[in-house]
Amino acid sequence: MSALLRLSGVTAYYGAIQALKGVDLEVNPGEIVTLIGANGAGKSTLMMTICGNPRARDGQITYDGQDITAQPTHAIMRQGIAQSPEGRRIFPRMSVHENLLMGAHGHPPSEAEATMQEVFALFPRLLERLSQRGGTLSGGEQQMLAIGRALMSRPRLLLLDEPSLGLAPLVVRHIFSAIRELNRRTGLTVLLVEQNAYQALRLAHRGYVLVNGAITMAGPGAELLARPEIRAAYLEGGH
Amino acid sequence: MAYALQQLINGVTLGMIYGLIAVGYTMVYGIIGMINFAHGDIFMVGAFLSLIALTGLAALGISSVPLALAITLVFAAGLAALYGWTVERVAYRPLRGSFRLAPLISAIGMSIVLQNFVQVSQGARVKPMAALIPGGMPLMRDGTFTVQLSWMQIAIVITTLVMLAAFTWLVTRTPLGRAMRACEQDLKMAGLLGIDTDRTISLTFVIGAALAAVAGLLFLLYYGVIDFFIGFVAGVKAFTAAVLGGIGSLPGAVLGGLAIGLIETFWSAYFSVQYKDVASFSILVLVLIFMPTGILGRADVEKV
Repeated sequence: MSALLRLSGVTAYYGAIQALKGVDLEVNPGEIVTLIGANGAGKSTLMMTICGNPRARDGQITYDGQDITAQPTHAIMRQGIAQSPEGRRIFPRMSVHENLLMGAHGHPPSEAEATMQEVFALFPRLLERLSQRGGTLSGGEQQMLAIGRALMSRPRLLLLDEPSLGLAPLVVRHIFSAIRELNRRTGLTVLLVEQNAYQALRLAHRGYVLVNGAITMAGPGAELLARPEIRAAYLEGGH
Repeated sequence: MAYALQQLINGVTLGMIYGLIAVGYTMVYGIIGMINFAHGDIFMVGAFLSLIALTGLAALGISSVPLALAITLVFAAGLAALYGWTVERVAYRPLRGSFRLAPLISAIGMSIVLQNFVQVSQGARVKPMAALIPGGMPLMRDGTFTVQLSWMQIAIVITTLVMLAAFTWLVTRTPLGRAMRACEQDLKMAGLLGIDTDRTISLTFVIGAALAAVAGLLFLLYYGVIDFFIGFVAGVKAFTAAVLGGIGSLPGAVLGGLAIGLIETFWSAYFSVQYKDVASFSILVLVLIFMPTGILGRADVEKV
């Protein structure tokens, strides 16, 4: 099976600081792959580098067999990749409805309406908040909106950056089960970045561990969960 | 009373022109957080383009004033838009991601370039133009004083309102407007949603420049004289209007424009013409001290 997304030897810098030190990673079609690691390991940088912002300095990123390493962000995102980024980045002075429409930028309005109904089926809360401004939503609602907005472009690959951050356990469970359902039902491929390693590894088919900008471990989710060094580094002290 | 009414009419007319220019400042500030100091000079270029078009059309024998004005409007707005696009492409885009002051300095440079270009190519002398829309209607008589509402003033107010309505519709109701607002609120996220942010920024400059050119045409028709330096004073006033209204806010820009127009007119009428700019800018200072975000500004804008 050929990978939907493949990173080989990718490095990235923020100014003079090297954030990624030669990352190799693969995501196959229909998979949920998780990337776990401590704060500052470079997880979010990796997600943004896939989207071309910052651009990878060395190495290659291919998506669906095409080299996207040097493409501008908007061109990459129009090929079926969507990201729900770190910090959610909801447009604060736009309504929930407009935020969702932004996700379908460049798609015909009739298609956007249909997709929006699917998003509402997944997150009914968004329908209740439709005309409310994005900035006034609760954290959990904002996260649902960020994921919903990403789904509006009908992506093949969804990049999810820390969807559980700062949310109540019940909301986290709801969001994770939504991701699982999407993956099962539509075959959506997901690359999930998480600090909540336990939940993420249980959800994912495979996982990678990122330490200081480099992949140190990889394997099936259940296998990583069982490793003592993972338990010690990422799981002790509560799930 | 009649005198005050007359000043009100004059002030609103002037304020509308300031408002049209201020929209360009506030839009560009909103989207990339820079003050486009060359914007006033785009307004000046728009006034010159209008003069050239009107002179040319007269030479061609087009005697219908509405037709000539319509052609001039399209011509001036179109070419000024090209100027706006070029300025952004040449002087600002290469500096994006550079340190904060770089595009600001570059903007001042572009302002000087445009002024000198027009000064050299059109001459430094004041260019007069005969009134195209003369006359008006008397509104009220008070002793020897008659309140006049000129057709020109009506034309200016109507044109401005139509432009602002069209622009508001564009920003609030169309996908392009939504993309512009998305870039304004979170440029990085807009890119992640597949929006070509560079193109959206370019379009912002293009639209702002077109509005400034319309203001240039109105200014030319209203005052009948222009020179290469009008962009500086009008630009600073319109910038003040944008800050007064709350920079980043579109209704604020129009409101600020009206405020500056009225302050200036009333001050000139009741106190002294020489000190009218002092009055406008003193009010700006007071507003900034007591309402740092302007009349309609948001407290969360912290880009500069």
